[in-house]
Amino acid sequence: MKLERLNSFILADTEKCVGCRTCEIACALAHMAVPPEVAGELNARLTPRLFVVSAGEVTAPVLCRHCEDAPCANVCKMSAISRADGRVLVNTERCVGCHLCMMACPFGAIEFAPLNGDTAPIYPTAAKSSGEENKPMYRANKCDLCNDRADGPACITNCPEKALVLVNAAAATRRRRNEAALELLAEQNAVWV
Amino acid sequence: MMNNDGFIQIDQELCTGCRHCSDNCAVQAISGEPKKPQSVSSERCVVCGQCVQICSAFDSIFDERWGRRTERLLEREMPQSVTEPLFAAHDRNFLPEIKAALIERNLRTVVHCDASVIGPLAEEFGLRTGSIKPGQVVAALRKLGFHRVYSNTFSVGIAILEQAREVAERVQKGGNLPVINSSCPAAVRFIEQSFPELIHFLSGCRSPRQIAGSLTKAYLAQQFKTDPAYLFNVSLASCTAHKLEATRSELRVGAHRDIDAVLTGRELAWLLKHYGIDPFLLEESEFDQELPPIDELRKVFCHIGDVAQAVLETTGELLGVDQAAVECSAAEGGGACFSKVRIGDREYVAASVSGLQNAVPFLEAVRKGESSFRYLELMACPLGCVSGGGQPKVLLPERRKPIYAMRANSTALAFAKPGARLSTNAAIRHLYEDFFGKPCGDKSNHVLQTRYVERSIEVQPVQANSS
Repeated sequence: MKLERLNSFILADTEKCVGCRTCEIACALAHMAVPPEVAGELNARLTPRLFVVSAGEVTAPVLCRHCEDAPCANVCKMSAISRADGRVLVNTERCVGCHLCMMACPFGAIEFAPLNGDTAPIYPTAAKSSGEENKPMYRANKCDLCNDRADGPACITNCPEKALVLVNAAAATRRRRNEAALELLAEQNAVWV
Repeated sequence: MMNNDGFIQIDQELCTGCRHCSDNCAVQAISGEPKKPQSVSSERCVVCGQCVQICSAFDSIFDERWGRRTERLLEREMPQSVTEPLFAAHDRNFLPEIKAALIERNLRTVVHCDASVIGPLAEEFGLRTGSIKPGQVVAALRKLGFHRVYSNTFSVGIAILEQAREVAERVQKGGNLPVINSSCPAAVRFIEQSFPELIHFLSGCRSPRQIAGSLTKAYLAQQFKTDPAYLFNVSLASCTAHKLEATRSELRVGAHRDIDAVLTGRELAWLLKHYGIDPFLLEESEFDQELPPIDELRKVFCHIGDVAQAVLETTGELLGVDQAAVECSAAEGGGACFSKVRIGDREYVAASVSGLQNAVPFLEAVRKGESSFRYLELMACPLGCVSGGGQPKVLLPERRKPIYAMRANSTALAFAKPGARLSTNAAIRHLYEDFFGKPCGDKSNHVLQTRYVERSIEVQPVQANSS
């Protein structure tokens, strides 16, 4: 991906989105070490990093805007959220699950998901003998624009309605400015000829 | 939460109303407003289970209290050990009955395996399709507690033979042609509902799975010298429509159904994981030989056209042609293919279609009397039984096609030998001579034949607001 001046982010078209949640499944699978093909293979809950919301007539996934001055990164006491390669990323090894980023995010794009995979949870001393031994370890969980995926973000490629697009505001604005300039030419021709 | 009594249910809490299932439903059984929970009409539904395969609205961990999952598993009568996500569209199961039967001392439990279940079962365990050997599945079923494990291929052989007899008879004596294959229960139900005037074209023969059922209760009960009431008969199928078929009132003896319970491949995987049985680690075991497997028939129902070819070949055998050469065209767009056989100076053509929507033009042609084929093979699921409603559920839409193709190939590759020579098969001949007395006699018809019911339902065009 070409690095732009502004961060890119994924945006849903609410006219196209039907709320099928395929993007959530694709997202959760894309972030697994060995993505399963069939439902029966899954031995943990799916933990997507985008969240399909249905509110009245509207359904759309909500996900990270990769803010330039990201409130989540600013409030993080553990410096677990950083900006790199035009993305805002969570380092789950530094995260202690303090919920601050979750509360700071104006979009609700951060959720807390159980840590799974090969990094086995280490239970805090407070949980021992308090009846919460089986409660999983939660860590901040948000969109990373599919860091290493060759085809780009999994939600975009898997959406059956093609409702998701990768947006770069700077590029989009430049394009719009060019179009406006061309229209200006057409307008002037119409007025002066 | 249960909004009707059908085998297909849509969880009203989970459904987001994306309507992908209803767009795919050939019988317009799913209705509701967009972006509102949908409901299934059990009157219309043919239980093909494609909505169960397609549904992507799952129980997200971020949406609800943690504990609701336990209740949902209970409502669906699924083992609490199930870890996979729960989707809005799901099929009801017979697991409580099966679990109870397996520990009931007085019952002898029998299971019949679909060949199309065995390969894909490996996927449920995170393995490549086909990596669990048939013998290991047999061993796993024995370990679950089944007393007798049979391969379905014997019944498939009988069904093909009976249907070939019907084709030969209707050709020679004059009768309704084409003979429409009755092996797919969803297709049979579809014809009963949407093309009720064509039920006399359907082969009178039961589906292979139901033949396995009636053979168990009639023939095996006699072999075991036991009352059929003490036999608990389970059908391990790739099919959800078979659940509805098994409960049909004509497919029972007295109060006892021929098939007491249907178990899909997915449900078998839940059971095996629940009891801690890993089939991949088991020593292989043989199918029981009272109904001996016919290995050449294992790939039938995995490819469009296989049944038609087998029926045409056998028709050739019955009409006195040794080694009838059947030519089969490749499946064209629209999921249809044609097979041809030349017997004497006449050419017999069979058409094969998969997908109920694709079948409509063929059935229309039969209705108008314009069909050029003598046999019509119908399969309701997009690629036959490898894509059945009870098969492992593929998570991403774009992976569905390649995985179905892999399943079909892995089943077909193992059995390169074509032609089963059913009319001279020793085991089938033995069954007819010793048990039925003669082919097409009263006894064989009683066990192998069935009847159909006109259930015409006006199928309206799909409406957006028909909740």
